[in-house]
Amino acid sequence: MSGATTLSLRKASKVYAGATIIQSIDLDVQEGEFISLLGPSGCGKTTTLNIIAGFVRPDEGEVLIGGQCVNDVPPYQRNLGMVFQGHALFPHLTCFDNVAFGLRMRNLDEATIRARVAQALDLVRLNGFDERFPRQLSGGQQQRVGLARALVIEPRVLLLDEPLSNLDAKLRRAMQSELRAIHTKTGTTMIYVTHDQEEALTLSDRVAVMNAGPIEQLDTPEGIYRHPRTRFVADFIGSPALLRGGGGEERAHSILVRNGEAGGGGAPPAHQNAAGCPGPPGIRSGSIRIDTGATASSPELSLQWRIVDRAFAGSVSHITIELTDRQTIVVHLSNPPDDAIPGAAVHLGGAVANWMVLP
Amino acid sequence: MNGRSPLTLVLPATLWLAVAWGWPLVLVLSMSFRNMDPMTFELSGFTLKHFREVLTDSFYLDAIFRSLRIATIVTILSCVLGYPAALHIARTTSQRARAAYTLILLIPVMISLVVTAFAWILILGPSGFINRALASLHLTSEPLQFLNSEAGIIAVLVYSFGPYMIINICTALEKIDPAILRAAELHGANPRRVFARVTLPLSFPGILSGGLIVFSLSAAAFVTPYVIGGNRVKVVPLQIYNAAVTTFDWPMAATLSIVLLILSILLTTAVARLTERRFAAWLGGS
Repeated sequence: MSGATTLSLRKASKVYAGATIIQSIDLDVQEGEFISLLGPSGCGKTTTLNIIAGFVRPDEGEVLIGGQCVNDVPPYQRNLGMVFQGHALFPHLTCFDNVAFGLRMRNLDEATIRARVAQALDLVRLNGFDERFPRQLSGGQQQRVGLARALVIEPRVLLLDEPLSNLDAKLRRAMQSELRAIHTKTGTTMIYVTHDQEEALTLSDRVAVMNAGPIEQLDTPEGIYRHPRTRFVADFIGSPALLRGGGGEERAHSILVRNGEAGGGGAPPAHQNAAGCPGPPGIRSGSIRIDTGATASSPELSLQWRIVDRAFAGSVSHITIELTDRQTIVVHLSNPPDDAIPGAAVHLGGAVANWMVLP
Repeated sequence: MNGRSPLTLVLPATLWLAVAWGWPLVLVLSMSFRNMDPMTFELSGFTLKHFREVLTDSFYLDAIFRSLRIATIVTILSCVLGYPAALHIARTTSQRARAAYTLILLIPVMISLVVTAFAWILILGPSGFINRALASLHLTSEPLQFLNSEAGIIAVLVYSFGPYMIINICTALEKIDPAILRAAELHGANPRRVFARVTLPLSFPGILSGGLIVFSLSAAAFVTPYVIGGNRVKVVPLQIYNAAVTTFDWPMAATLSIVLLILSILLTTAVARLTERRFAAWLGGS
């Protein structure tokens, strides 16, 4: 990403009733960037968004928009747009008047308002719905009105607070690609709050992983996924299973990983963890291959364990594999070998490039 | 559904209303069309003369207009004075403060109207609290006449029925999703415009239902005009009482009751219809 910094947070912190919600958040959002704030509920991502919007005042630190501190600027003068989780449309206004709201507040003339509202409704493919009231629209349509209402004012930054979480899975995917297209078309800077890692990875230029403190890691989706800098990021992204080589003898499979170095014909890449030390190797379940043959194919690191369960789930099968210490991991494979059935011994492995060093 | 029809569920209430409310109403209605012998109290014949008298004689017409005027003023004042209070209560987050507010609101509703009215005599009387305060501040040389006046009746009615307005507005305000207010604010509305464009219109159903209650109660109020107005400010309920108890003209009392009831229903439904039309799309229906 190149271009000017549109929005920055400098050491922003917030404490509610003695509990630290966010701590010393530093963030620079570039012009035209799509950035996600990702984390579990309670990680402070919504508070961060509310601080940017001006609904919440940070206890410490400052918010800069276009290089200017806006801590003392009320929300209605920040020139931001926002799409809300529950749509938050004005129920007493028509679709047209909902979208026109921000323009009317800016005292534009009626002809300009009509033209820009039509353009915005066109952008979200809702032309012809002008006279409908929100309750006469479906959930997806309501959210598109919300998007048009926020975009029509050409905000400095568009804030999106889990806008798709109330939609069903199919509609959510459709809206994701639509959102991506709108971002490309308008070039609006967007900050997207979500707890859905797939959504964050799919949509964003960069992802900020949060966990009730400073930002854990701010990186491209690839970087977050492949090179987690903290244990939290490693665990939170790419769940449900992360095959982890332990650091010591207490975990039998960790020894095998090390043994695998000899047998598998390759070593885990020598990344360094946050502390600067090479940590234990790990691999995401999505990158794991299983092989019921006698040997793992080179050049892979592999482990040999036993399948305890196999469940068909449509596009993938869930293969549950037991490790020595009665821990199990679940591997999702789109096309598992036919003999990968409960009781079968398997090698677990993955291309050397997919192994990572865990912090 | 447990298989019981909704009709059977409303049956007890329906029966009760039919016996305790419907039947007396039918009796009153039928009596308004009868002649009554003032000596024997016997009812006979069919006549429209009571209605003709009520709708032409200024003695009755004045009472009707006075009643409607008082009810209208009380409704408007309750709304204007009650709205800020409702707004404050709806924004209060402390549970303890809310409980206190609810108690304060319920006091006028719980205490008998007679007690309330006599208490207000002490406040509004020539040597009452208000007049003494005004005199000691040298704002008035003579005590103001609150008792036996419409102003006094209106003041006490606002006190007695205002809580219904506040509670209804408060309920409507609490139903507003805070995210909607945030959306308005972020998209450029300053606090004043958030209120005018979003909060006020969205609380309108509360104003409407509160207004209907306050208006009907005020138009039908008897105790307050009787005690505060000293039977000198002639409102329709007082005329009904006087006709029934003083002159024993029951058909006239019945006619006045019916006219007041019809006017009250007509006015409230007309206002409700007119204003609801604008909000029909989001208030109800599909």
